[in-house]
Amino acid sequence: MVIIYFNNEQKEDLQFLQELSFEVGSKIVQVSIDFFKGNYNPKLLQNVSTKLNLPQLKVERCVYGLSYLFTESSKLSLSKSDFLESINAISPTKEIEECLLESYQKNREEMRRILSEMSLKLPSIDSLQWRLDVQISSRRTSNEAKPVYLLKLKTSDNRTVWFQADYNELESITNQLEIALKESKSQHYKRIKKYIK
Amino acid sequence: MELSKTNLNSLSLLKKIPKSVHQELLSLIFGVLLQQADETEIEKSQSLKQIDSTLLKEVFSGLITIVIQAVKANLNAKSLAQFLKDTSAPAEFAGLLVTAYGKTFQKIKEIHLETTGFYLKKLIDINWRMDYIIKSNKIEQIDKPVYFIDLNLQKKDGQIEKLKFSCDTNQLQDLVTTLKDAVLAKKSLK
Repeated sequence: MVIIYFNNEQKEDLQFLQELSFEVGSKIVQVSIDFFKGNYNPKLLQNVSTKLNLPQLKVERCVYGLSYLFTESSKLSLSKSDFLESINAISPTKEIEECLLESYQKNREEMRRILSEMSLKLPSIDSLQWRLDVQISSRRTSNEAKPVYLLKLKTSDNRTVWFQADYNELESITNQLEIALKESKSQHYKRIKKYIK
Repeated sequence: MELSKTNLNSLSLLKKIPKSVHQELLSLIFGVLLQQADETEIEKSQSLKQIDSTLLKEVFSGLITIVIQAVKANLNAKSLAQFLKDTSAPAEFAGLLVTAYGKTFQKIKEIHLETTGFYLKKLIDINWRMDYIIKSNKIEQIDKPVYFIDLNLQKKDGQIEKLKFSCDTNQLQDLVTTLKDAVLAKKSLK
């Protein structure tokens, strides 16, 4: 069982939710979800606090606290019971509890997707385009018919690399990559996957 | 090295340019060749501005041509020094030119010749590695395989460049399908 730990400061910030009505509380939860998805708008926070007649600093800190809650729970992929156990620490009202759980469950996949985008990774392949040409002649030779592949590889960091390859190389590379792909279906891989879980 | 008479003439014209300006002229020439400066530098320099513009133009273009031709002919600093000895270039200037050339000709070669040549890098080898991602500091329970692919590309001068990228199983599947199509295309030729 995995639970999130809140420090005293965070507990205080989140207990602010207790003082609010359900409507107000759920609005703040919504703001923190948007905040997490990248729609952070300080003006919005200002508007929300004035409209709800609440001190802006408290609202802001509550939003930060909720972001922490959602970040950690998505990161650890908490189950329903673990999530509820974690938010017990801030003793929310039944309605707020339900609201938080619902927001978590609804948005978990997307939040995990955002987190994995932020994680460490090498540039990945976007696309590979190829063209087959036949080299007929050049300054040094003529009357030849050599097949030549022209390839363009695009990676996710917006790099485009052009290169050429002859048939034999391309065939051997295709074979190598097929072997690599077969690895993901091998016994060894399945065993490791089982043990890690 | 093929150089026209006018280009070689520019070397003798150097005598008309004061020695104090030679170093600055050289810095300008190599700056332009390394794409770090352009001709507007002439306006900014007090000493270069004072030289007659026709003379400056001829010397400038002559020297740039000489350097580029030297790079094209793959001359090293020593060979260039040898070549300059047989011309009407003032000895001190030739020395400065050869020193600057020695430091920069590899870079000039890369910048200019690779962008105008027909030769693309050639694929010669591949390395791959399959990992299983468990977790990161941002997200836990990832549990997915990832492939790291390393392509070796060879340039015309024999240097090998490595092209590295990662992909997941689906992307690798797409890649293999694309490559298989490419290989099949050739089979239908002959």
